[in-house]
Amino acid sequence: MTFAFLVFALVAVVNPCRLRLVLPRRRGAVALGTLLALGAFAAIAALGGELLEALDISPESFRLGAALVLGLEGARAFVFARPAAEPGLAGLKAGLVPVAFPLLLTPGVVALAVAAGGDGVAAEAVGALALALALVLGTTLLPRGTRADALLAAGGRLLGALELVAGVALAVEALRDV
Amino acid sequence: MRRLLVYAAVFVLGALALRIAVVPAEVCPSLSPDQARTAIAEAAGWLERGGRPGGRYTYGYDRELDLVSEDYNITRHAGVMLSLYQLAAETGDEEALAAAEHGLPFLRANLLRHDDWAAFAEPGQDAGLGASALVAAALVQRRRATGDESQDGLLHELSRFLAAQQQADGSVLGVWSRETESAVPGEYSKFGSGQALWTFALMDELFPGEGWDERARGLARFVATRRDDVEGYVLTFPDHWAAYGLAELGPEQLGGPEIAYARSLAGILGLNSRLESQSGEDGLRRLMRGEPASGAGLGTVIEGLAQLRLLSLADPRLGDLTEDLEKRLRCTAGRTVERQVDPAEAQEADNPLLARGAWFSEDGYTQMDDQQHPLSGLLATVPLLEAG
Repeated sequence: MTFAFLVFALVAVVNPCRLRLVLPRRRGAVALGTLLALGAFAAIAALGGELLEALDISPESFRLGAALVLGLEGARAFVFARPAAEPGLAGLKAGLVPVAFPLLLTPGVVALAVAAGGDGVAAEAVGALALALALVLGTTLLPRGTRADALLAAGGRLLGALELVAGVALAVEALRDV
Repeated sequence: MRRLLVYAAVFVLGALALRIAVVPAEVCPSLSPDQARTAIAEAAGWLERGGRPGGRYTYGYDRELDLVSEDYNITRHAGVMLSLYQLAAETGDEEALAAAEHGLPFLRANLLRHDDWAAFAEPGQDAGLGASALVAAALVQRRRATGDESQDGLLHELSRFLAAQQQADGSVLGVWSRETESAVPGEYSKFGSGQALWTFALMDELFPGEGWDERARGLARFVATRRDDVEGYVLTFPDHWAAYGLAELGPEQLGGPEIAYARSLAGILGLNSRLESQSGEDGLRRLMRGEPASGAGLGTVIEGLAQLRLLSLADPRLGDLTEDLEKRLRCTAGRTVERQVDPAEAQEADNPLLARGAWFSEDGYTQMDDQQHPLSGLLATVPLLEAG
C-alpha cells in the first residue's frame, strides 16, 4: 500500500463531507475526537502485524477482508448519504462519543489500520489519516444550511463511491500479491 | 448508550464474521527435508506398484468400494512417466527409473504419425497437445536421468508435432483432427500451452541451435499477453506448466511481458496457497472453504510456486517475490505431506498397497495425478527445505 493510496482510501473512508452532517457543533470536541481517533489508529496500526501473526492471517489475505469491509461501508455511504444523528456525551466528552467512536473509528478505518500494520506501513497510514482528519476539521469551518447540506450529502455519496473503489483496488492488490 | 452498545456489537460480530468467512487462520505445518523425502518415496511407491500390462499404470482407486478404476488417460500416463523420470534424474532412484521405463511400450503403441511428426494419441482419437508435450518433457527427463540418446528421434518427432501446431502469433493449437488431417482452428488446450512452452524450452536446453528457443519465446509471449483473453480466463490462469516453462527459459530469454506474467502467476498461485491453507476437513473451515484440494491440486500449486521461486532467485526483476514464494511453498508442501496416507494409516484400508502413499479426495478416490503432482512438487521443494 502506497502513501498515495492510503490518503485516497482514508479520505474516502473517513468521508469528511458525510461526517460534517452529524458532527457536534463544538469544535474543541471535534478536535479532541480527531486526536483520540488518530491515537487509537496509530496504536492499532502499530500492533497490526503482531495481531495478524497471532491470528495466523497473512497480510495479503487480510487485505481481502479489509477490501470487503471498505466495499460494504462505501456502498452504505453511497446509498445513505445523510447519516442519522448520533447521540453523544456532553461538552468536550463528545470528542470521545460520538466523534472518535463511532464516527471516526469505523470498521473501515480499523481494517485499514490493521492492514497497514500488517504491510509494515503503519507510519505512512498514520500520516494519511492525519491528512484525512485535517479535512474533517476543515469541514467544521463550512456553514450549514439547506444548500450546504445538500452539497455535503452529494460529496458524501461521491466519497462513498470512492471508498468502494478503494475496496476494489485493495482486493485486486490482494489477489495479485503472493 | 444503547446505540453505542449496538455499534460495539456490530464491530465485534462483523470482526467475527470476517474471521470465519474471509480470513480464517492459515494453518501451515512444518516440514523437514526427511519428511518430504519420505513422502516423495511413498508417492513414487504408489506409482511404481501400479505397473500394469501393456505399459499402463494403475489409473485410480476407490478405497470406499475397494475398486480399481478401469479408466485411462494418456496425458496422465505421460505425467506419471514425467514425475518418475524427474525423480530418477534428481536422485538416481533406480526403481523410479524402471517404473518410468515401464510406460514406454504404451507410448510406442499409441503414436499417430503424420508428415515428419508423431503425436501421442490413442487409436481413433484426435491428437491432443498436452499428452505429446508432456511425454516429450518426460523423455527429456529420461535423457537427464540416463544419458541414453536412443529416444532422441522420438523426442524430436513429438516436438515437431508441437511445432506443427504453433501459429504465427506464437500460440499452439490444442487438437489435431484425424478427420481433416489438420490442426483444429481456435481450439486450445487448457494446460497444453504451458506444457508446450516447457517442452520447447527443454528442447532448446538439450538441443541448442535447432530453433526451439524461438518457438518457446513466441509461445511465452502469447501465454504472457494473450492466452487468458483468448481462452476466456477472468483472472490469470494458475498454470504450473507455464511456470516450469518460464523457469526453464530463464532470465535472458524473458522480456518485460513475461516477467509481468510471472509476477501475476505467482500472485494467483499464492492466493491458491493461502486459500488452501484456510481450508479443513471439517467444521467451519469445511463449510466456508468447501472440499479440501485434491492431491493433484496441492501438487500443482507446489510445482508452480517452486518453479517461480527458482526463477525469482535467478532473475533480479522478481527477486522481491522470493521470500513470499518460499513462505507459501513451505506451507503448501507441509499441508500436502500431512494429507498423504502413511503406512500405518494404510494398514486400516481394505487394500493397504493401493492406499499407502496416496492422496484421497473426500469421497475416498485417488487417481494417478494425485500422486504425480505432489511427487514432482515436493521434489522441487527439497532444496528449499534443506537450505533451512
